[in-house]
Amino acid sequence: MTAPHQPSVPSTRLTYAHVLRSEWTKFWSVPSTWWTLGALVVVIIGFGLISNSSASATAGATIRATQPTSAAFTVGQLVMAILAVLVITGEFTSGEIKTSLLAAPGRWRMLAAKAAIVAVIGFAVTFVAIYIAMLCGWPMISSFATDDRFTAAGLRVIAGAGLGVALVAVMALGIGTLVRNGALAIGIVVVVQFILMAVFGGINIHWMHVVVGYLPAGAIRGLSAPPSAANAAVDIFTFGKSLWVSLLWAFVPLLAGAVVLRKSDI
Amino acid sequence: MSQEPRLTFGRTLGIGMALAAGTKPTPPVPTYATDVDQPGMLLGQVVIAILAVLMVTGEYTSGEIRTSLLAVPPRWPVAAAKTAIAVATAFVVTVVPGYVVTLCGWPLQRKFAVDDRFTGTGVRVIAGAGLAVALVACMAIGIGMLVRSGAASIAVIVLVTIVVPNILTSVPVHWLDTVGGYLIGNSIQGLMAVPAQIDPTQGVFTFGKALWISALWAVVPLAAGLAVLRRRDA
Amino acid sequence: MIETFGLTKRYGPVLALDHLSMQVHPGEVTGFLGPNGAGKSTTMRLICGLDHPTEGTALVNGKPYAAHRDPLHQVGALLDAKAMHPGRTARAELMAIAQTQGLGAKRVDEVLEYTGLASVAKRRLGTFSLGMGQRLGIAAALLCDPLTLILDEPINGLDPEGVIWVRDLVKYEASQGKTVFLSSHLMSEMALVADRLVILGRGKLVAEKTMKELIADASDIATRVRCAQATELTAELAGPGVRIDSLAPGLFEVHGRSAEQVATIALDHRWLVTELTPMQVSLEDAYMKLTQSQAQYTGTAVPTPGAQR
Repeated sequence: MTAPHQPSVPSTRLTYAHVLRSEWTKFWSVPSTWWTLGALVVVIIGFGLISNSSASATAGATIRATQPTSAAFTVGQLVMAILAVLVITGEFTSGEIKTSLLAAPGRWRMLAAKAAIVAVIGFAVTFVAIYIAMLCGWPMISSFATDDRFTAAGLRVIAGAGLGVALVAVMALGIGTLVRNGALAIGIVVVVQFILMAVFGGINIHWMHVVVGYLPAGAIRGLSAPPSAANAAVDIFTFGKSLWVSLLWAFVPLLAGAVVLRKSDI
Repeated sequence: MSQEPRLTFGRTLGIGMALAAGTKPTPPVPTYATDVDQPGMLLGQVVIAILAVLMVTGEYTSGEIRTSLLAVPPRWPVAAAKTAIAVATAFVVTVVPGYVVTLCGWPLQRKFAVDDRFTGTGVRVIAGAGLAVALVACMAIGIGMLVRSGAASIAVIVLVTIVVPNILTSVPVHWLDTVGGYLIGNSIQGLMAVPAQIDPTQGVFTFGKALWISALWAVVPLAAGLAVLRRRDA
Repeated sequence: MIETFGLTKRYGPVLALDHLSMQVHPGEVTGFLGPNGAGKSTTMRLICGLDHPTEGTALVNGKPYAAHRDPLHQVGALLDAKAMHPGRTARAELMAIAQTQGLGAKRVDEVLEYTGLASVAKRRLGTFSLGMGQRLGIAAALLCDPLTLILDEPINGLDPEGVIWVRDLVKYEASQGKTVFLSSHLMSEMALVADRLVILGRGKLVAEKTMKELIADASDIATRVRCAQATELTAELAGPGVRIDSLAPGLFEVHGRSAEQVATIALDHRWLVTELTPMQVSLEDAYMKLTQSQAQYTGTAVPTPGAQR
C-alpha cells in the first residue's frame, strides 16, 4: 500500500438526490436485478404472444390490441414485487444495511430512493415489454381485433398496467422493510396477491366479492381496464377509484416500514 | 421454529371455517364434508414452503451451514433430518386443522353435503391433503439446497405451485391446460380430491397418478439438492 | 471529537452499556479496550447512530451523528467489514457509498489505490478474503476524508504489511488533528499505537488514562541487573519493600529500586554493572490487572506445557 499522505476531498453533502444516485448504482450492480428484470420481460412478451396466438376470431372486435393479458400482468406484478423485496431484504441479509445507514443515517432517504427506483423501473420495463408484446403479437390478431395500438386510450391501458406493477412493487418494498426476510416477504406478497383473492373470490357471498375489488391485485385491474359497465359488474373500479385504493396499498406498508426502520436498532 | 407451526395451524383453521361457512352446493356435483378448502390449502402450502426453505437457506445466510457440515461429513443426514422435520410438520399441520374444520363445519353443511367424515374415502381425502403439503415441503427443501437463497427459492416455488397453474388456466390454449395438470400445484389436487371431482380431462388425476407425478416433483429437486450439497463448497 | 453523556443501552433484560460518559479528543489515537461483551461494539454503534440509546446521548463534533449534513465526512467508521452485498464488485460498493455524499469515480479510484485494492476492484465481494474485506472496510471509512475515524478491530485478518499500514495510517491521521478511536484485542499493537486508552468492563467505564499513566500505575519500580559482583550488590540493595529475584548467576531483578539507585550504589562500590534495564509492565499485564474482575467470559486455565496433568 502507498504512503500515508492522501489528497483531501471536495466538500461533501448528504442529500436526497445523492442518495437516489447511490441507490441507482446499488440497484444495477447486483446480479439479481438483471435476472428478475429479464424474467419480467420474457414473461410479459411470452404470455402476451401466447395469448394473442390463441385469441379466436369469434371474439371479434371486443379484443383490442392493447389488451394486456391478465396472465402477463399477474406474473409481472409478482416478479417486480420479488425484485422490490430483494432490493431491501438483500441489505438486511448481507448486512449492507449497516453501510447504507451509516451513509444516510436519517433512513427515510434510503427507503424513498429505493421506492422511487423500483416504481419507475417497474413502470418502464412493464410498459416497454407490453408494448413490444403488443406490436409483435398484432399480426396474429390484426384480422379481427380493434386496432388501438397508437390511440390515446390504448396507451392509457398499457400505462395503467405499468402503474399497477409499480404500485405493487412499492407495496412489496414496504412489506420487505417491515419483515426483513426475503422468503417471508415474498410469501406475504403471494398470500395477499393470490391467496386472499382466491379466498374472497371463492366464497359465494356478495360482500366477499366486493372485498376482492379492494384488495391490491383487484384494485389495480381498474388501472388498465377501459371503463365499461361490464367491468363495474365484476367490481373493477374506475380509474380514479382504482388509483387511490392502489396508492393506499402501496404507501401504507412503505410508511409503516419507514417508521419502524427509523425507530429500530440495526 | 416453534412459533410458526402454531401460526399455520391457526390460519388454516380460520380460513377453513370461513370457507366451510360460505360453501354452497353447486349441482350436479354434491359437496362432501371433507372437501378440502382450496385457498386454505394454498396458504398452508405457502407457509410450509417458507418454513422448509428457511430451514435450509437460513443456515447459508448465517454461515451455520459450515458448522453443520463439519459436524456431519457425509452431509446427507443433515438434509435427511431437515426433510423429516419438514414433512412431519407439514403433514400434521395440514391434517389436524383439516379434520377439525371438517368436524366443526359439518353442522353448517349438513343440509347439502354428503357425510364422509369418518368413511375410508373421507379420511383418505384429508390424509391426501397432508401428503400433498408434505410433498411440497420436500420439494421446497430440495430447491432451498439447490438455490441457497431464501427469496429466490420461495420465488421459484411460488411460481411453480401457484402462479403458473393460475396463468395456464386463464390462457385458453388446450395443450397448455394439459401441461398445467402435470405441474405440482395441480397434480396434488388428485391426492385430496373427493371421488366425484376426479376428472383426468380437467387435470384432476386419480390418486395413484397424482401420487407418482407429485412424488417426482418432490423427489427430483430433493435428490438434486442432495447431490449439490455433497459436492459444493459450503 | 467524540463525547458521550450517560450513554446507556439495554437489550431486553441485558444492560449492555451503563451510563458511559467519556471523551475522545482530536490529535491523538485513543484505544478502546475491554473484555469480550464489555460493550465496545455497542458503544461504537450508538455513536454512529445504528442503534438508539436507551438513555443518554453521543455526540460527534458537537452534534448527534444523524444530525450532520455530511455524516461520512464527520465520521469514517469501520464497524463490520463484511457488511456489504456479496454480489457487488468492490468498486461499485465504494461508488455507491461515495455517491451518497456527492463524490464520484475519481475519489473512489484514489482510495482503492491508497488501500491497495486497485487490482481487485472489479471482483465481487463474495470472493474477498477476510483481509481484503477488511481493507475495503477501511477504504469505505476513508472515502470522504473523515474528521473522525472509528475503527472496530481494524487489523483483524490483515497480513503484516497491512498491520503496519494501519498503524501508520492511524498515527498519521491523528497527527493531522483528526480524532482516532479504535478498538482492538491485540495488546502488542495497541501498545505501539495508542496515546490514550478508554477501558470498558461489563458496560461500565473502568479507566480513561493516557498510555503512560496506565502503565506507570500498574508498574512497580523494578530494575534488571547483570553484575559481576551480583551477590555483594544484592546484599547492598536489600531493604524493606525490596524484593530480589535471582534469574541466573550474575543476573537478577530487583523490585523496589530504580535503575538510578542501583547504578549509584554500584558506582560507589566500584562494581561493574554490564546490564541495567528499567522494567515496566506490558500493556497486556496492566490491562489484565485492571480488568480481571470485569471479564465476563473466562476460559479454564490451560496447563503450561510440560506440567503434570
